[in-house]
Amino acid sequence: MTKTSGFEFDRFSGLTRATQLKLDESIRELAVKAEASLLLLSDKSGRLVSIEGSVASLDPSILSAVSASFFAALAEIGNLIGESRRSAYQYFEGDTYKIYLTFVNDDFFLTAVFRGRIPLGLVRTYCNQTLKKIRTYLLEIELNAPGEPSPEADETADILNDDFALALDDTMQDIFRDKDDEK
Amino acid sequence: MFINWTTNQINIKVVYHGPGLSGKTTSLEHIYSLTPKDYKGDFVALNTDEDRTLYFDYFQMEFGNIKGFKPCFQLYTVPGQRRYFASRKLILHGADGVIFVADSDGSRLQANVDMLSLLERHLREYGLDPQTFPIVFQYNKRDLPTALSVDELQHYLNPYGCPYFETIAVSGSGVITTFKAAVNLVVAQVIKDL
Repeated sequence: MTKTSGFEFDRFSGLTRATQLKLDESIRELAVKAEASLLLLSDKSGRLVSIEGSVASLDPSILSAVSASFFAALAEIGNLIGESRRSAYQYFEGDTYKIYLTFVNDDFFLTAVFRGRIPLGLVRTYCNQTLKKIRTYLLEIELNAPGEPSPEADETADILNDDFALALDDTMQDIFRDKDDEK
Repeated sequence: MFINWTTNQINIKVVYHGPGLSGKTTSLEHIYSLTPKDYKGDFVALNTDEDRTLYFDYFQMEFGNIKGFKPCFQLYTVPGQRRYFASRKLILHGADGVIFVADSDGSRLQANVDMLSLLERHLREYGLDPQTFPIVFQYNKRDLPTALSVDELQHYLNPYGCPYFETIAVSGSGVITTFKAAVNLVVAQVIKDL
């Protein structure tokens, strides 16, 4: 059966507040242990699920989107040579920052940006410990996947309604006031 | 679409799709240039040496605070060149809506048709129905003397009767109007699906 939009397809519709808090807490703990400047949990299309920390002048949503494309490109390279096994992790070493990227499961990945004080091996160990917890929490999303009403379903419906659509349209009119460009 | 319950962000992904050199990047750049600084993140473009889109162009637009929540639009373009088949499919993953930028030039009709067919195929592969998925057509390059009539474009590209707009992306004409219509369509569909 085909769906009518990305919403029904989207597994995030099962992301509850309780699961979100647990994911955030895990990411926060890992950031402290690994002394990471920035930690991102993203889905394979690059959407940010959880974030901890910051790096000056770096837009985390861009890092997430580009990291997703990087993993996808690697997977495609693997396909080109007939390899379906994905690369478990990637590592970039710069002068100031290092970046460690690792899959959580088929749909999510973790990006850690850190300075050079902590050895990579230790960062990997901390990440692996956290990945186990995160995988468990992500299973909760599966359990709340479309078809099953999310505990936040009523709240979501209360937020996303015609009033919201009107308010959003008003906001767009304000943002692009005098810039409307109809021929 | 998903709601981050910690940050109260409502994340919605919109993808500019269409054949190579139809005006996807130009449209996104125009929107970016007119969006006030407080409402946008950085613009990122993964380009080839010839400034063609290699992987995607991207920026995030935030619409302030509505009812305590922050609508946040992730705007992407796909690479239009035929060889970037895999990239296009991946960028479409999780999309809530598409703006299909068609090249009005008569010589590009087949390229439009082919790319639209690929888009429909990819949507189906993601379990989505192209007939009901939010798609807005942006008929670009309306200033070309070789442009097909809108009726012709509608006939070949838009059998499902999706909303459509005429644009000249290089001057910005019609681009914002198309974008606003797409946002409204996507949000309406999300609400309908709740």
